[in-house]
This record gives sequence, C-alpha cells and structure tokens, in this order.
Amino acid sequence: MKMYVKFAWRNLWRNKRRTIITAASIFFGVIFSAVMSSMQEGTYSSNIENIVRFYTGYAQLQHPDYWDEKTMEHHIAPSDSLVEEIKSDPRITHVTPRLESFALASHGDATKVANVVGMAPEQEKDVTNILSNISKGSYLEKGDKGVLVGKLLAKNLGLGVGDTITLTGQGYRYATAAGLFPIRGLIDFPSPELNKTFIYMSLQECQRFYTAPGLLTSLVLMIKDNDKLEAISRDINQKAGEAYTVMTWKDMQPALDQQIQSDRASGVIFKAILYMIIFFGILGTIMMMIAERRRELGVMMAVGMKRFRLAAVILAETLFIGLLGVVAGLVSSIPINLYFYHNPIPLKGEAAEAMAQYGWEPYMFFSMVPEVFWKQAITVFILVLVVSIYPMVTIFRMKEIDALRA
Amino acid sequence: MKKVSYSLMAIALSTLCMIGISHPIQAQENIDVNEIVDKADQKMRGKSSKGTMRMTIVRPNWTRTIEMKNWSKGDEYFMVYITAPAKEKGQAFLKRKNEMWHWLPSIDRMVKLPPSMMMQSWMGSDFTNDDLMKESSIVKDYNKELIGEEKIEGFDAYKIKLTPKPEAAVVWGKIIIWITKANYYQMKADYYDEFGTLVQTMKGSEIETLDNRKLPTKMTMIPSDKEGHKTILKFVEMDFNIPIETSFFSQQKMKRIH
Repeated sequence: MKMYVKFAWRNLWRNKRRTIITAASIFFGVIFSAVMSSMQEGTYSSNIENIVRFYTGYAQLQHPDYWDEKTMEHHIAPSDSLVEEIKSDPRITHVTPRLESFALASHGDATKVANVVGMAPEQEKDVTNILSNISKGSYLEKGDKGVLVGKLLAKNLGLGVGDTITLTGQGYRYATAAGLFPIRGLIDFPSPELNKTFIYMSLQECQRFYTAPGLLTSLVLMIKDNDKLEAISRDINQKAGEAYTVMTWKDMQPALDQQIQSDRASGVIFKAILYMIIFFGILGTIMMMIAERRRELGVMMAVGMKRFRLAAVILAETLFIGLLGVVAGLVSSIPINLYFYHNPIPLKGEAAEAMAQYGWEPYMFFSMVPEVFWKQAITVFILVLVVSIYPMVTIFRMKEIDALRA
Repeated sequence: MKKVSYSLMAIALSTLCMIGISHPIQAQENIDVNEIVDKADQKMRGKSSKGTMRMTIVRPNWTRTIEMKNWSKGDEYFMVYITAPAKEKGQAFLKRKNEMWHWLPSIDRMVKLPPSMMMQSWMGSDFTNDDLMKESSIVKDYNKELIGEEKIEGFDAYKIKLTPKPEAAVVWGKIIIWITKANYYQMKADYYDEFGTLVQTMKGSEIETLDNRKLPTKMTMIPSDKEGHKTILKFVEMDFNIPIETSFFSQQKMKRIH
C-alpha cells in the first residue's frame, strides 16, 4: 500500500509540468463552480432579503382569519411573555409590531383611500428599508404624533412636509376614527401603488386613532437564515397556540416565491452545463496523460508488473492530482468570493434601472455560506473519481506489444 | 306651442303603447311596474321628510347602537345627524346632488367622500353609504320587470326584478324586490352581484303608522356570507312632505344642527 503511494508520488513529480496542467484543470473547475454558486446563492438570498425587507418581513404572527379578511376584528394582542419568548429565539433577529387598517385621507375637497400602518419607528427601521425610502422630511420618532405619507398620495392631496393631513375612518368596533396629523416626511416606495396609498404612523398614535389600545394586526419577524424559515414558523406556531397563525413571506407573496423557484431551476441547468465542461476538461487532460505514458505503462507490464498494481498506482496518482486541484481551488476561491462578497459587481443598463425602481440595489451579490465551497469541492472530486475510470479501463485493455510500439 | 304639442303627443303615444303592451299580458289588472316601484319609493321617502332613526349593528360577540336624525328632499338632498352614542354625537353626513360630505366635529373638519366609497360600509354597519344616502335610485337607475306574484309575511306582493341601466353608476348585478300589492310596502329585497351571487338581503317589518302613513318601520340588512352579522334600521319618528328649503342641505347647516 505504502509502495503504491510512494510510486504514485514519485511519478507525479517525475513530470511536474504534466501534473500541474492536470491539477490546474481541476483547480479551475473548482474555482468556476464555487464562484458561480456563490453568485447564485448570493443573488437568491439578496432577492429574498429585498422582498422581505420591502414590507412583509420573513414571517408574521397574525390572527388566523386576518389574511383572508383584513379587519381589526381579527386582531392579536400578544402577551409580553409571548413576545419575549419569540425574541429569545436565537434564530430570530428582529420582532416588530404593526397595526394596519384603512382610512380616508383628505385635504380640502380631495379625499383618497389610504392604508394606515401603525408601527414602532425604532424597530421598523431595522426590519424594512423604510429609512432609505424617505424622500423628503424626516423619519418618525417613538410615539411620534406625525405621519409619513406616500409621495403620490401627498401629491394627489396637494400636501407636503409640515402640512396637516386629515384622516377619518372606522376604528375598532366601528368607533369613528378621526384625526389631524402633521406630515413629518414623504416616502418614495418603488411601487406607485404603495406610493398612492401608504401612511405610516407610530403605533401608539395609530392605536389611539383607531380606538384599539394594545391591539395589533401582526407581529413581523426577521430571521437570520431563510433556510430555517419553515422550522422557525412551525416552532413559533406551537409556542403561540391556536389563537395565532404564522404567515411566511412565501405565504404572503407566493408569486415572488415561484419566481425564485423557477430562477433556481434555470440555475441548476446552468450549473449542470458548467460541470459538464469541467468534466470533459479533466477527462481531456487525463487522456493526454495516459496517451503520453502509453510506452512507459507498456514497459512496466512487459517487465512483469501486474495490471491491477499498475492500475492502483495510476488511481493513486489521479486522486493525488484531484486532491491537489480541489484543495488549491478551494483555497483560492475563498479570497475571490470574499472580494466579490465585499465588492459586489455593479449591474448596468435596463436591468439595473428596473432593479433600482424596485428599490433593489443593482448589484450582483455573492454568498459566503460554507456549502457554496464544500459542495463544489465534493462535486468536482466526484467528477475526478468518475474520470479516473478511464485510465483503469485503458490499463486493463492495453496490449503490451502495441503499447511498447507506441 | 309646438313643443308642448309634441310632448303631449309623446305622452299620449306612450300611454297607448303601455296599454297596448301590458294589456295582453295582464288581462285583468292594468299593472305598471314603474308605477309600483315609484309608489313604493315615495312611500318611504315622500317629497321631503324629517325623522329620527335608530340603527343597531349586530355582530357575533357584540352590538352597537347609533341614533340619528335625518332630513331629505326629493332624491337629491339628504342629511343625517348623529345624536348617540356620545362619542359620535355631532357627526353629520350630507348628500347634495352627487356629492357626499362627512362632518367630524372632533377634528373640526369636513371630509368629502369619494364616489369609490359609495359601496363601503356606513359607520361600520351592513348598510353601505349608497344604501343609506340613496345615491342610486331604484326608480331612476334600474329597468324593472315583473317576474311574479308571491305571498310575503302574509301580504300579496309583486316580485320585481331590477336590472341596472347601462349608464347607471350601480354595482349590483340585479335586485329582486317584493312590494306588497295593497300598500306598496317594500317587504324584502335581495341584492345580487354581477356574477349572480346573493350578497345581502333586506327585510322590512313592523308596519306602523308614522305621520298618518302606514309603512314598514324596521329594515333589517343581512349580509349573506357573514354568519351572525346584521344591521337593523328602525324609523322612530317620521314626518313627510314637510316644507324644507334646499339651502338647508348645506355644509354650514350640517355644522350647526343640534
């Protein structure tokens, strides 16, 4: 056993250039696939992050009937201990309350239907991108008596920062809700639909406005890892009991989830093509190596070396080259991905503009999750193993006389 | 002169047509569906009116009662003033032709209700703004068709199908209304959406005399898809055909009525 390894090692360095060229084909295979999957994973998770940061969060704790019929009758009033319990889950990064309902926003003769969101300003800004969406004026403070108004809604009503907006509507149990609110800031959402309807208010003011003290319509949850979403929502559902239901961003925005799924499917095809190219690259260099060493192998057999021993030496060589290439590839792909992780590739042209309109950063993001690396290393190593079948087969089918003449 | 004679001719012609058409179908009685609906509408409204109403909103776990005064003139002017509960007192709604206004004394503001709010619930009840303020009119906005005669709550009634005229701003696909033969009481109305699904039913009951006029004084609106939900509108007092100026239905007035 030790002898095979020794032979293989010596063989490798007998012709350094050949070894390095073969290892290089594997090395580049690992680098390409690692960079590509880092880019794919980075793009997906940044898409998901963008989607959930837009408004919904990763998940929301709601009344079981709220999603189908969004009225304040289907409110929740989670106890402090429940909120604390949810917050203490290490997989959850942020928890923020909201109270949402409709109201009429008016000024003079103009009246528009508005979606009023009561939220905790100091927590909301860590959950959604609301801070970066403020186009004029300032953000709300805790318990603020003012409001943030969608840019188009303000324009349609002829209002600006510092003006007073009149809100009327039906509060909890149909108490009349009416209030005058100074406009602190204007929000410019990427979606015109939201710009025309959204009004943000501090939670305290909103609960007062709707005569709904202590009531919420949802508790928004942010988590660390989207892969754990289902498990977390199951756990929270269990903790919270039957009076609640957990809606994930996939439940709330099924169209976006499907879009990501289909994108992922096309990513799989792209990767399959990449692996195929890598496979034939490695196969090519190994074939060349065997062709070059045909005479040498013939001589070994002619002087009486058993074919299986020879095959074992060649296999050990291939594995050495494979390991060398994979390890070198892994080590080099880390700094490359790390660089792009910190310096994402900016996008240009129409695609970039479209993304910017959605409030997404027009960059190609990279991921540093470990599986990007080890999955690629293992896949490429398996490819090497498959390729190593070729020299084995060649050795067992080789005729000494032909080989000696080669 | 010429104009007058034309219109006279038109009336004469249409009367002839009416007789000509309705006669073969309804051989014994000479039934004019338009007239039935018109009379039923007049019964509830008069040329003008003034009254007190009590609305009870019933929900599975709680109820809420709103008391109000109301004034109307023709079908173009309508005003409601909320008298109870205390928290809502002083609010007023005004309909003037096709504009609707809501006065909120707590914030000292007048809010114009957009047309898109017509089908929204009035004060959280099962009546829409349109139901209460009669923005659309069963007399003007619908084609009427007599589809049968039935006994309802012990009264012989006409069953009439109302389908919206193409140009009318109406959301219902159709309304089936039951009007009693003898007294033109609106005893029941089924409201269907454009897909033919029953959305809500209104029932009239408690026939009493108000201002020498016998009419159903209790209207119950029952949405068909929400169990345990209904809204009862009771006419407590009603004076019909009172002298009232159109200038009464003004924004200035709605701020000052008590």
